[in-house]
Amino acid sequence: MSGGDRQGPDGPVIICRCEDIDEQAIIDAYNAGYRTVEEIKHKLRCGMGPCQGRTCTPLILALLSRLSSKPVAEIALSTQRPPLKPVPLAAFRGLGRRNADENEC
Amino acid sequence: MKTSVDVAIVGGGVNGCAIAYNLARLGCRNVAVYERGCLASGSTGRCAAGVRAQWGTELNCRLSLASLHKFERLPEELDYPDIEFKQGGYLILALSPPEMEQLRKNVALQGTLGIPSRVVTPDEARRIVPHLTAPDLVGATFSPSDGHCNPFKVTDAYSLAARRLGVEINTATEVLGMDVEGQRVVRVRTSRGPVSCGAVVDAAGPYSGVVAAMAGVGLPVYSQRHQILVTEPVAPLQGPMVISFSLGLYCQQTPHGSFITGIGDPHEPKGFDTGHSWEFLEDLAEKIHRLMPLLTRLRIVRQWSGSYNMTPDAQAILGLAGQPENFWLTCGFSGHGLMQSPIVGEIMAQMILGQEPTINVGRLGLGRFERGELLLEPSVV
Repeated sequence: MSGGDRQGPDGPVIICRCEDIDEQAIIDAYNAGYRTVEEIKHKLRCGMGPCQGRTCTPLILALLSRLSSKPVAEIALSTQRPPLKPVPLAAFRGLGRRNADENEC
Repeated sequence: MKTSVDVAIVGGGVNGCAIAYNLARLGCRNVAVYERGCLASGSTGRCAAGVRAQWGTELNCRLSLASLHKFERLPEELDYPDIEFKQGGYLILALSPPEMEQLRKNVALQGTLGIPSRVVTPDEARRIVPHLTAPDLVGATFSPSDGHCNPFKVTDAYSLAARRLGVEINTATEVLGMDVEGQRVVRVRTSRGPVSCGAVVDAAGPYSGVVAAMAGVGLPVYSQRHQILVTEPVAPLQGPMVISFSLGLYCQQTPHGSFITGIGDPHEPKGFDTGHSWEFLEDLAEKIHRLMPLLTRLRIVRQWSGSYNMTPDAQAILGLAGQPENFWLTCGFSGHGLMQSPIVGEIMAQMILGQEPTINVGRLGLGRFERGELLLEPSVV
């Protein structure tokens, strides 16, 4: 399928906002042999930004489903990892001590 | 998929792909790589991707320096746009006088091998990394040509170049067993069928021991989880990788702007666990606060882990296993597989093809463990 001629009102369709990856880049990667969510992530960084794929992953799944003619349920996800949203490293200082103190109360 | 190859490479990490490329470059093109997941899905893609020549044994220094030179020219050699290679240097911290003594010895050795490292005072270290506080800093060493690259891109570059030369790269293809007849592995059995082979290379990273056992080879290796995290991207702030062997900590800002930092846990059990823990975040937060408190304000976006494939002396095993006589080992990198892959890929291909290797790695053979000739590397995280 072509699929690559879709333009938003002002230009390309952005799929990954964190890393500024558009639909055409993903279609090109797919056509070059990068067929899984994981491989596309490694190639283009989709899902590695601050939103950790919450915006782009459903869009990539839909796109891969369309390109491969497979239902979304059959497309493997990449591993989801913490934190759920960005947290400053400082928030973890003294965590064990604080937990221990609370348990003593 | 081919049913007969000259060389079957088990493992689609950076070393497997680099060996495949170099074999093809040297004229051996009937080569296949078998990878259970996708390329770089094992230790390669999980690593901190530091590249340094500041080591404590001569062989590690020479292998890493040769690789550093190859990384500099890799986009050109492999016709690949960008491997995100950044040469911001490595600043190695000494937090006690004995640690400084070891680093001084390392720098003396490195100087004889052409590595541009030098000893720096605490004040100089803080000029190189302005947000470094580290009140207990005794001194440091710095080498400006060390750096960092993108492991996905390096692996991608090698695999694409290998494919262009005719190598078959199979992902989602697991090696399940091997058939040994006489003194040779004659066949690898994969999840997509059997393949006859002239030689086999074990480049299976954390699973090198499992793969070697399929050929009846026992390896003195084990795997161990190392945890790591990445922060949100920020403006350029830190040139070099900052590393402390005594804390087991490293911290680097990538060209993308994010910081990648991790810490080893001396009590980590052996095994294949690649999960994550909150205790790691707490330990890291405390130690980063001790060295570079400004960085604790950065927001973490993701934590993950990968396996080191450890040997008794924290150096790789390179060469023939002995029996079977066509089974080659490229494993046990103990946390520095990516940074040595450019030269290791070349050396392994040369040895497999019966050529003189660029650097003699005879002392890194499996036999050193039986002979008790360990090459203990003092400077690992």
